[in-house]
Amino acid sequence: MGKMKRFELILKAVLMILAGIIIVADPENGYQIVTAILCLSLLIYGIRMLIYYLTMARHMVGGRLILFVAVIELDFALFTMTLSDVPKLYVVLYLLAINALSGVIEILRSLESRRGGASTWKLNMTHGIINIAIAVMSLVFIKNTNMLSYMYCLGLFYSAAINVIRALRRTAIVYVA
Amino acid sequence: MQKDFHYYATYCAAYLAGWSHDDSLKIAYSAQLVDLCSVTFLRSIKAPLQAATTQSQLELADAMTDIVGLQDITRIWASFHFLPYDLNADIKGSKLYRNKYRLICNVNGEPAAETVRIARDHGTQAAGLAMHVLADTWAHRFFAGTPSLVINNTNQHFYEIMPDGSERQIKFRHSASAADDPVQGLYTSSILQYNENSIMNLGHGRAGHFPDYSFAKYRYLPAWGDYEEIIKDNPADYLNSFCQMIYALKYLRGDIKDFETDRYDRDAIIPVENEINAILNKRQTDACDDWAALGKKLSGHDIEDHDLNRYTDEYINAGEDEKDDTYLGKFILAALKQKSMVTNRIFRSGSRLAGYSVDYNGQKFKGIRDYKKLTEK
Repeated sequence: MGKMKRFELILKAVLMILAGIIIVADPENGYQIVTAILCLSLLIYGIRMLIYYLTMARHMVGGRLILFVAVIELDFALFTMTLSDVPKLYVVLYLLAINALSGVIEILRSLESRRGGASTWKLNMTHGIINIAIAVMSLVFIKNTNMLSYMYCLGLFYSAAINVIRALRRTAIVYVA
Repeated sequence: MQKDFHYYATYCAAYLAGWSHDDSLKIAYSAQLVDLCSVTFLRSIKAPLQAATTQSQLELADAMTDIVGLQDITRIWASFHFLPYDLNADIKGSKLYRNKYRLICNVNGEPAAETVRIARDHGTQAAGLAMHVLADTWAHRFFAGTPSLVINNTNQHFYEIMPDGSERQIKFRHSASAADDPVQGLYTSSILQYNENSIMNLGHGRAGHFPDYSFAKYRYLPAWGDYEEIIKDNPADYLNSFCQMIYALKYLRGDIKDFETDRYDRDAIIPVENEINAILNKRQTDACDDWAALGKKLSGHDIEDHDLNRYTDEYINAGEDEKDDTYLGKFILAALKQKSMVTNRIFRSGSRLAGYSVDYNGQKFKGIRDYKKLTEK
């Protein structure tokens, strides 16, 4: 992992903690700011992937996967953008669903890492399971929207911690000589 | 390629080309040193850091992939391990894509010829360095010496062609501590990263060390090949590499007037051709012992193992004015010269992937100070 990637992970962690603090400070309306940040991040990431596909990845074997990822990211960004008039309950549920989805992706990644023999699979698996567990537990408190916000914050803080651990971890590189 | 070919096989090639045992050993030492001369090593002997010809695992793990870091990586890997074949290749696509495509390594390109030509009359160190670069063009062909997903990625469509003609799918795993297993067909590779400039996408990292094994014959889909398969026949390629090294080393000895690409001295290997083919086709991940035995058979001398510190005291203890005349001093000069030549060619092709290159006007020196040595010699 290069220094830029480590910096990116730590920046992501800081943003997650900030978002968590905003929600804790104002559980009634803080989620709207978080939704806006999420929308912007997805938009930037999606556009970046789209440019990468158009300029380079379209020439690559299997490069269409990059296009699919870009389109899905942009889709999510646009959908998130439309959430301003929706009742808070649904917005928080949507955020929790994204949390759960990222948990599923982490578990899939960890299974792939395990198949490949990489030692990092346990960290990914734990991250994935906890993300899903938070989303499931939130369903228990579905009538208390403030509690849902706190649960979401818990997920954010946990993901931030994982990002920091990842950023500080030594990564094995295959030596090409 | 690894120590077996860069050290022991290079010794055999040098001896077959007519060099003495001592000189063959020095050439082989220099050829292998290219895989070990990292910034960490140069720092330990207080030598110019720009002369680095490789990056260690730890250096790669900490390498920045911002523009300056990428230029540093590209200068090292394109100059010494993945020499570009055609820096003016005309290909459809954006400039970003074209610049990366042009860095694809292949054999018998003009930069390869220039690599051998600039080594002439510069001692066994320059000769050995050139042999490393030349040999690697055969092992690393079709990959680029810069981090690039769109060029260097490989996928599951990767099949080994066995000696009996049957095929089996190669299984790549990501466990850096696990040894490659040619019996089961299990090889360690880098992890798929969708970041174009991830260090995981450098050279043949996505195919692990598999392309470095002389016995490997395989077919796969290169990321850049527009879904056209490549069949790579390492035993044949490595034999060509060996014969081309003999031809090049004869040129470097002054036995041949001009160096031309696509020339192989097959006559020189006739007495030991069967032995060489047997080594190249043997399914093993380390052929050092076999090549060392062949070397002993050829010269009658035991070939001592490569010791990184063999010449370090000589360099460290030499005065400032004497360093360039030591063994390592001459190697450093050859490395700077090679890096300067390749960077210049990449720069002149319109790409900034290896950084900026300025022409020396014979008066005022501009650019990275380490290269000033080249103007003084």
